[in-house]
Amino acid sequence: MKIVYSWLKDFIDTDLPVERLADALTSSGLEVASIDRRHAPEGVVIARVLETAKHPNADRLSVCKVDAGTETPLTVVCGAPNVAAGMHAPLATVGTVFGPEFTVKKSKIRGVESSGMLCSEKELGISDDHGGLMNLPADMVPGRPFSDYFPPDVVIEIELTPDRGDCLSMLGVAREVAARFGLPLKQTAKRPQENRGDPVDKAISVVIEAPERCPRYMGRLVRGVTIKPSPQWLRNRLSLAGMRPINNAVDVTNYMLLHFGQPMHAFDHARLRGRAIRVKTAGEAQGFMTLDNIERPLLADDLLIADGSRPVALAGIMGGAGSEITDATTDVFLECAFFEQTGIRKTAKRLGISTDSSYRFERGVDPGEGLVDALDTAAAMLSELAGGVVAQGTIDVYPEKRTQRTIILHPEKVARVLGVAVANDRITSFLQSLQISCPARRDGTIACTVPLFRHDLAIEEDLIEEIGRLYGYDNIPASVVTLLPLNRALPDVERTIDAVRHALAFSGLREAVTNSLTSRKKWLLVTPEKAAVPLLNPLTPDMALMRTTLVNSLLDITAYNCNRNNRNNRFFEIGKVFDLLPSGDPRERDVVALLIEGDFVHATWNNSAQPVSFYMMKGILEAFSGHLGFTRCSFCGTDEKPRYFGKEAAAVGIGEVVCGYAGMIEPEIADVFEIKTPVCYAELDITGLLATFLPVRSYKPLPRFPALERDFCFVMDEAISASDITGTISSISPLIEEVYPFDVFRGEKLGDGKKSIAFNTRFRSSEKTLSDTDVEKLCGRIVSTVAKTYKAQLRT
Amino acid sequence: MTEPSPTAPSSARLDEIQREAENAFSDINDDDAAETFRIAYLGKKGILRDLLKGVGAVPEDQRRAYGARVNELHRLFEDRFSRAPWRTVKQAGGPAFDPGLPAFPLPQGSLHPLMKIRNEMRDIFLDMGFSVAYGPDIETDYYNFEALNMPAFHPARDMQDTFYITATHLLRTHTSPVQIRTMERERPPIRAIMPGRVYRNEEISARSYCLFHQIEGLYVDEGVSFADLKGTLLAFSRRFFDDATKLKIRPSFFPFTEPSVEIDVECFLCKGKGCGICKGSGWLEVLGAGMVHPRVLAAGNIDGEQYTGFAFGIGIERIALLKYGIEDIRFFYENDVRFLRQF
Repeated sequence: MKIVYSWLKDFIDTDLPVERLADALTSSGLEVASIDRRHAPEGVVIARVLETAKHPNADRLSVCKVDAGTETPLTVVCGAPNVAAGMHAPLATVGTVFGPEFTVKKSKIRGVESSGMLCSEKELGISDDHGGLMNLPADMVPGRPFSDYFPPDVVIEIELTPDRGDCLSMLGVAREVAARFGLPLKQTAKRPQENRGDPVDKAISVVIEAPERCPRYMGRLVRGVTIKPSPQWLRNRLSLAGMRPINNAVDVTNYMLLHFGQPMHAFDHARLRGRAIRVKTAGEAQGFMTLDNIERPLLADDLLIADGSRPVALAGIMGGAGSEITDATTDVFLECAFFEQTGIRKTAKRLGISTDSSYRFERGVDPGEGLVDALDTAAAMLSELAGGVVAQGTIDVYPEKRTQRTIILHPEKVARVLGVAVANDRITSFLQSLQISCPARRDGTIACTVPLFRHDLAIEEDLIEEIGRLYGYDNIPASVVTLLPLNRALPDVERTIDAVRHALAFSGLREAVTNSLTSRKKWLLVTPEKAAVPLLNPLTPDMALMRTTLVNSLLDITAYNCNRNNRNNRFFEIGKVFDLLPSGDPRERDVVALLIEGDFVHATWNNSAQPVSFYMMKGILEAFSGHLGFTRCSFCGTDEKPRYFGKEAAAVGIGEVVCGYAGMIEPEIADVFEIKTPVCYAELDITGLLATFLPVRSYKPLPRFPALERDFCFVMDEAISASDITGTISSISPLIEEVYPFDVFRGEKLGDGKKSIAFNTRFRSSEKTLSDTDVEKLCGRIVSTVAKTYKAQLRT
Repeated sequence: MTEPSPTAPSSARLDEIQREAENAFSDINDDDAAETFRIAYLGKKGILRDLLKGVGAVPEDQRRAYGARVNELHRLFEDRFSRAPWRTVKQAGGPAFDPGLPAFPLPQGSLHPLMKIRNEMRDIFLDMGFSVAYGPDIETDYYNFEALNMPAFHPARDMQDTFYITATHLLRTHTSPVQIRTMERERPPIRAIMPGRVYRNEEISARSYCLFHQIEGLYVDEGVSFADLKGTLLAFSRRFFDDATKLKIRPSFFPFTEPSVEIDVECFLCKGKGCGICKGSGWLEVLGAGMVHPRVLAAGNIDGEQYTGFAFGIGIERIALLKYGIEDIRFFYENDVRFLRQF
């Protein structure tokens, strides 16, 4: 909303500096977005171009003779494409100062002397239009200062919150300023001279068929007008407020919209068939051509203004193509109505139209005196500007008169909510300044009657807000907060997530934060088996659905880094993945994903590179598991892994609550992301982990007796996993402290499909020093158990 | 060790010696083994000395070739030995220890700046007696809008461009629905922050992304007032930014709070004097807040006559952009390692 300072002064007498006014508006909740000073520099005058000729030495320049009020015409060189003999344009005369670096001087331009500069709107700071000279009306007198016609002004742009529809006008903002500074508000409404021989209700009939959608409809008729451009002052005001002047009739309605905040519509009375207006819903789906010549598809519930035989306007949003004001119009019917907010919004939103009119109706206009003032003033102005005569009387269909809301205010509640005691007389003076009448009642409460234009004031808290903002939130003392925690210092979920993050960062991984939205293509590439959650209105096809895994997110950022020559990437992310349950309901899971790419340890002057491998990821996950306090951490080969993994991948289990997969990414998948280096990835579902506690750590005393070690080398089938054998050996006796596979060998001697694994086994007792004999007995059992269970032979 | 040979060794024997030396050399893995190698091959009684001694036994016509071959072996052994990596400062006159050479490249990890800021803020609120609550990213229209006093076709819905999943499900546009979920679950006193990811269907630019992160705060109890809101956020700002930070409060509008305010924090960089970060105003717009609307309390099954409450919301990206002076919000989601490693 653009506020024109001079226009605001129609309502209030004030000479406040603009900065103070802007501060006051912002601290009232009308946030000032920009302050724009509009004034042409001194020395700019009205000029009339008498003749133009091509510049002898430059194709694009003209040499003009202009009348700028001096005795002899001035010669001015001009580069504007639209310069023409007979036009009026602003001339910056010699000596005009545009800024510290630019003063207009008498100078030769390509050999022709020029005494000034003809200006565009942009050069004068009127608008951004730099397409050519500013074309001025022919009735402006050459030589008169430009500022006589375009006085300096200030445009303040404010950003209004959706609750303050009442401030979408000069009047509304003036009311706020008046309340803030205790100024009286001036009455600006005019009443028209009526032609007693021409009663309006003989000329037109109005019926509201949908009163819940249009609680009030008013109209006036102005006959015998001449449609023409509006006078300059009116055109100026509309332009400053950001509206394009059209003709006097339309401009008057737009002026009312900006002045009182009341949208109006002007119909050509002659084109209203049957001299009737019906306010009705469309009743059935149909097309309607709005005055911008776009066919709008209407639904049965959309509200229309119809004449005797057809729709003529999309109520409150836009007029129709068949009834608008033309140059031939002589009788103008002015509509001034109150349309119910939600209905207008539904239609406007569905059709994707937002007009100055619909914007105000959606937020609520004044259904009471505001309507009358706007209509009367519009009729008076139109007859004054367009030479018409106003028909007698007003159409006013208002089936159920709106009454002002009364809210009971408890002064002690003001103190309770704001945390500061505000004296009753201050409360009433604040509210009265907002035109809220507030007589005190015997029980100490205050009965506050709210003007109809304040749709936002419905409950006691709304009034407390009005008191708060006028009292000034900065004046409310901050309380000293000493709160005792209601619960333990760090909630468990946070504790767990912190542990996860720190474990992975300690392992050398960098935490990433990536988009939860992904493309259909990537989803089909990595997890076609999962039912993804699609968006109804995606921003782009790249973000059409919710991710089902973090693998594409991390591959994306790895590719991004590789493309920037950031090699050997190591990432982790804790994030959500989404899918649809068979019931169709969406489901969210918390996962942690790890990705390592290239070399985990890169080559240096004294070390060779360590490319990433499954076993590196296994080490990271074991450290991760240990950091969280879990003792169980398993890796099993599986055929049911996600398709983005290659052959070297395993199912992972940590504790009882974390599970997932880890392995090398299938090179063909990495290829799609244009990653040429090896990539290892793991994704673990931690939803269960977050729902429980981290394991409680238990202390075990350090061993007091020495350990004995023995090595065993078993030959076995390829299909047998080292972890199976370590598990079997460990379970043979509590004296077996650790079993560690330290070598794997394959060779012709062993035969196809066979391998040998060497295990280092450590024996220890917590009660005594073990003897060789103790250990030999156990060794025998180990060899026989492994041989029996796995058909594995001891290799000697 | 090879005994000194009484006769001159053949050329094949010299080749064999070279192979043996190469093997012995590659087995060396510490200084002691190196010294053994040196004594055996280069020492006063070493193999090379023996070979030189044996030159007399070489036929005259082969003596020159023999000498050249032995010298070649000598240079080779010396050269290999002097360049060996296990050689340390012990070798007088050898290469010096150079601590300036690059380190072993232990992988370094890092935490994401957004999560660091989130946790810094979280820890302050935890210290102030707040707990942490969570809600889903995919919300229902009821929790995201209806229960927060934004019925269908309320113009306030335009303030937040929404991604819809279905007619009833959407990606939450703010963390405020967690307020309702928390009130449904708990009874006053309720004091919680609610961090999380939120989504907006907005064009992606340096200033905005299709998602960002917020921390919501809620305090509901008997006698909670605006002065408490101010006190809480002042205490937070002073711990997070600077212990002399000031606040400036402007009226604003959120459908779920009444009164609603926006809170500006004095610029931590220029201390209110005006700088590039605060665009010369001396103030940073960082917080939206207000007293919980009675209809929102009612949606949470809380008696608005008995209890009052305040709520606030902070954008984590906004704070991180300001705190680190980052010029483009997209850097947070691109995860360029050169960016990440700075935090």
